Amino acid sequence: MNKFKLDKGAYIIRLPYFFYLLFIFILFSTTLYFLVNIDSFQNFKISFYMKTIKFTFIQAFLACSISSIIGFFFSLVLYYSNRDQRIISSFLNFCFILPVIFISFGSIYFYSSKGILSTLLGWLSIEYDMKIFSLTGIIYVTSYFNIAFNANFFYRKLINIPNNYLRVLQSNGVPFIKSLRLQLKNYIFSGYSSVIILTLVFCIGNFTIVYLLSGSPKLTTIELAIYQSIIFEADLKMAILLGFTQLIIILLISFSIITKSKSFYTFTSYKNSFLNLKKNIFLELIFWLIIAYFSIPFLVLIKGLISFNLELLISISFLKSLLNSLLVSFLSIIISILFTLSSLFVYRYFLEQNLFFHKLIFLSISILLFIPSLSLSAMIFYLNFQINFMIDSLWIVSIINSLFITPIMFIFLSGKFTENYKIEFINIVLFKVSSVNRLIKIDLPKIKYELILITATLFVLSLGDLTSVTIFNDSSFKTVPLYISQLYSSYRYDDAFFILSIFILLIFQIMYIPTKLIKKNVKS
Amino acid sequence: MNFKTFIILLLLPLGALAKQELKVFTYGSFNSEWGPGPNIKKEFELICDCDLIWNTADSSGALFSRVKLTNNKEGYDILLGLDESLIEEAKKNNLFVKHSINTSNLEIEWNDEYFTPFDYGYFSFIYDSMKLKQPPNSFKELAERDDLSIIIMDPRYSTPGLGLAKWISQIYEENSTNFWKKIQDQIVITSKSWSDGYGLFLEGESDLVLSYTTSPAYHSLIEGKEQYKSLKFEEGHASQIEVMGILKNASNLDLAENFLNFSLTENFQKHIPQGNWMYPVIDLRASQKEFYNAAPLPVSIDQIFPSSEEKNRWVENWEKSIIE
Repeated sequence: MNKFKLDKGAYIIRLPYFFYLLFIFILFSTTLYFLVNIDSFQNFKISFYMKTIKFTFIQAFLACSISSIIGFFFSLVLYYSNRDQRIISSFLNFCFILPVIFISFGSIYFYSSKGILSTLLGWLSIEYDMKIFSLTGIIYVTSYFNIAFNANFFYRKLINIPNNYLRVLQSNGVPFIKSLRLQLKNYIFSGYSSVIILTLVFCIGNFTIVYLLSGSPKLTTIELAIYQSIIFEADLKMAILLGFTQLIIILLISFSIITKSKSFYTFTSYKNSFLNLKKNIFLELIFWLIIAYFSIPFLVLIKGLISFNLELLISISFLKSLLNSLLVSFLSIIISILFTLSSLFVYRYFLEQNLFFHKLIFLSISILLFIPSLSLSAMIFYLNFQINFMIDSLWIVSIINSLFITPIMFIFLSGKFTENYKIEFINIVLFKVSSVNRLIKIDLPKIKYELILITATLFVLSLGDLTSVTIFNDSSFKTVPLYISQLYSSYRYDDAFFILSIFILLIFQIMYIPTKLIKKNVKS
Repeated sequence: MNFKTFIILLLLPLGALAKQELKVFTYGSFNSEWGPGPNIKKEFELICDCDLIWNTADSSGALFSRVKLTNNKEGYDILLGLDESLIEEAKKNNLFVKHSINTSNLEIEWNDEYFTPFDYGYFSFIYDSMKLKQPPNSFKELAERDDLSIIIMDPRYSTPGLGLAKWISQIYEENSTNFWKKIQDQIVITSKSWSDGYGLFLEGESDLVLSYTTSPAYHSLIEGKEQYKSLKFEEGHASQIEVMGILKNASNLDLAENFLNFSLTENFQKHIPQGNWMYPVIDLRASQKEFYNAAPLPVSIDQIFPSSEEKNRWVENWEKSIIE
């Protein structure tokens, strides 16, 4: 490769990435300094500390195992159903990114003691004893997302099986399940380690679900314990220690994928393959049961819309929280796009120069995916405390959200951004295209569709987030998920479900925008 | 005249017109639409020529923690919503200043140089009399009735939760942990805050919920529902006194002191019974007959003001029953 001299524009483009590195360095070194200088833990209770860690892993392993087993089973049924693969895959993706607060309240509405299921069973004179505010409830809701995530992975693998292979199987009369067991097993599970580790990380970093459904101090994850340490015990030392414990454990677990992976399998595009099967009533029934399972939380929309409350809808407190939510998401996305484009630029530069550093760039960004939000919040809270709370809550929550979504955006866009980079680089050198021009006229148009899609998805993820805002809220700053949770805590259930429904309808609209935009562009 | 001077001169009259601000930090339900906060604000602003600004935390448990953690760098003048169990710890942290308010003519006996009371209540368990026909009459009977499910609040994070730990410690003393163990299987939910727990009880998640003897008055007077009752225990009921205090770095000490004074007048206290659903600290029996009829005072056990060590011991008694 030719050595390429960077122009001024390249330095400007690199600036956000260096700013990001500096921020991360300050954050980690300040908290590490704080951690090594702790002289005493006055209220440290080793038994609770150990119990919290133990429970975090028990619930994570349980949810992870259930999600992978059921996810695999679901993917088979969905594959056998022979329905439109793009719709099924999009549906599973959609279920995966739905706001946690929506699925949690949807499940409460269906499974609680006065919920739909209890009422239905009551009519049939069947006793209902399930407690949603328990470990069962936590595992159920946690698994909802991860089943969708795992099922989508397996489903995409299945639909990638070449048609020729399937024809040969059918002409030789070999049942598909038998070939799956004997031949396809290795193919189906290749790359699954990254998915299972991600699932485990999601489950370990479980906060919102445990925050809403934990009915006992025994059911406390590390994330919830961090929240309790800051909010109720004024114990920043414990919060930081818990955050670091979690970070180290997660990094140890996910070390393998951080170093080995360049991109996550689930983001790759898929081909179509069809399994020509005769309609089977039993499979059809299971297919519809799966759809029903994923649709259960949506029943809360009916309840919410029936409880229409105009006064609440136009109340200052709701409008303020909606504005805050939109503002936080908007700022998070802007910061995230800046960080992502800048780091992708640096990442590609090292690729072009054939230098090993590109792996370090990937590592420096993707590491954030493994720091759960509350651990990050504890560290930022401490940093803000050191500078006399100079940074406003709105900015803090936006920064935390952006740090959380940047690695996702980076991983999603990296493939397309670096596509044909070698040939592109030769032309750039040949025609002396400046860095800014390259970014604006070549890179951005190239990643346009992917950027629109991921921006909308991450905007929705950020809108529905109820993690850092639980620590950084005050009377003047709260987001819609927190507003809903506070309505629910004040036992204004109808109002909470109503706002939740309005919020979800808004999210549907936001998710619809990229589809419309892309269609419009394709037509033009 | 340069530009900066011009702007300062232009803004000077506005500065003179600006009212003083009093920032009061309290728990969310106190300043909710149905709480006493909005009415108290109106009443106080009529006499103080100031702006009363409510700042809220999610629960009473989070109030003191926030001020302690930030050393009140957020600049609140008054903290409203601690209870007597937290007073000792609050004083130890040196975050409050002494007041000069006369508290000798109150309904309750009060003599503290840092804090003034604004309401009080008695802990009890609430049940739905349409569902539970034979309610228990004592802690002993409660522990023997395995069929009864209970929702309590976490004593580490919620003042009613801590109140129950105190109540049990007062009744069972050294045997408190054993009692906690006995009722452990009946406790179906330990919520973070009173409102979380009470809401779940109303949603049918348990037979009993830890609350106050005044809770049925809310259902009766506001919702017209008579089925919610409070248990009357032979052993007597522990009380809770909610207090407020002036924070050390208050920007306007005189205004803060005025607010403390105001909190012991009828204009403040009349909003407590049917706003915060607690007993007022001055005698309002004549004007609040409805409330007192719906929430008669129960048999009380001795009021205690615990040291931090005592408070920690109550919580430890509860914790032991969970860990073991």
